[in-house]
Amino acid sequence: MKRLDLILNGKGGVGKSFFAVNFVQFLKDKGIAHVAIDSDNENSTLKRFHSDTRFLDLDKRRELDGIFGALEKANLVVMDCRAASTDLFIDYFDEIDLPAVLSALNTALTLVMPVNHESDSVDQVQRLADQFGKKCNYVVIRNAAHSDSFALFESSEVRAQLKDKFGGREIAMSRLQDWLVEALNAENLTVTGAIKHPAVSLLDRQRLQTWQRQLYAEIEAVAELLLPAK
Amino acid sequence: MSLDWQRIVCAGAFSFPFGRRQIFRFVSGSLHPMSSFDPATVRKAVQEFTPRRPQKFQDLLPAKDVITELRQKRASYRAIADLLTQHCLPTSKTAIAGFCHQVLGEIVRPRRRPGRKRPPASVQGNGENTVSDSTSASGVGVSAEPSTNPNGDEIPPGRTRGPRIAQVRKLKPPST
Repeated sequence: MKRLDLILNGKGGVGKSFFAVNFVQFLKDKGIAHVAIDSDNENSTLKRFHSDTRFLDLDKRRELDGIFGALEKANLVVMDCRAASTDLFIDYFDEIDLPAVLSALNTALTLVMPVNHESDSVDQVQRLADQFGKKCNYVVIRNAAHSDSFALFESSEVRAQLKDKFGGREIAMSRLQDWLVEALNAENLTVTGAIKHPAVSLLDRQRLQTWQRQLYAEIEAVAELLLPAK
Repeated sequence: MSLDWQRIVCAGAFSFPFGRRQIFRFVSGSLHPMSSFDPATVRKAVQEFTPRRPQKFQDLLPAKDVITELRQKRASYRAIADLLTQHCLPTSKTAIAGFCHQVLGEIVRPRRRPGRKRPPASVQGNGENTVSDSTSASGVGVSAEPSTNPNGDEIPPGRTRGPRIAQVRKLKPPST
């Protein structure tokens, strides 16, 4: 079965693109064939770090059909959805009758939803769960970039709902040191690229490797929800 | 004389910043060539001059007093148009409205758009909620609790445009 991973949370700054960049790097490092799509026309971060990423303009409704066009050729499509696009996707999926399209393409949909300590990010997860119910799989990324506290998410009804009713899973994305994030952005380097970069110091390389190893372990723990079935 | 004049005009066409065609149009219009400038003759010509386009509301101007009086009596534009049409001055309510605004100086008040009506929540015969109320008492677009259909599937709440304030549903504390 093919897989469509939509990295989606209407709240901006929750780590969608950051996770997308590292997830696509994971796929490359593991040699997993995929098509990556960026839909953020204002901050095309995924395309900045992975130049082979395709771009789809969300303002042109028919361009969205390209998601499913890509699925006809690839077993895995990863799409980084821009902030404030929840309504747009909901409308689009209603329009095309998503379950029928996914069935025709023998594809499973996974919503990958980063959350942080803010209520808006949790509310967005709730919205998506209310909308899609059992029509898709869910992976929540607990992004600790800004705070280690997820009290709001942990006390939310949607967390229990995802876990108990929809088979959702959670993984953690730990904080990467500020100077490392800045250096990666300054040079448009992925973590893998920075680890191989001669200008990066030994200790920073170690920090990056440790961080990446943790994230890759988390991703592998939910591989059955993120990768195509073998 | 006419040959001389034409020669002068042709020469002028090259020395003036505007085109020859404009000069010829000016010469061949209502004015006739004069040997010398005579203010009295020009004044007379100006008095006799009538613009090509009729003056705006030319037909309605003789009825200005009547229209003013009717407006004071709170007659509608349509009523005034009908009345004048009946009395051999065919016109439309749009023309009367324009006349009242532009000639009589009535203030144009923007029409207030009617408020957006929210469809009432209704229940179909099969028990499914067709429209769910998605606006909370606080007046902001907040998703209502999802309802369920007879199959037990959750129906997503309706969506509204505008501000959306996060309202995370919290788990109820376990009862002891």
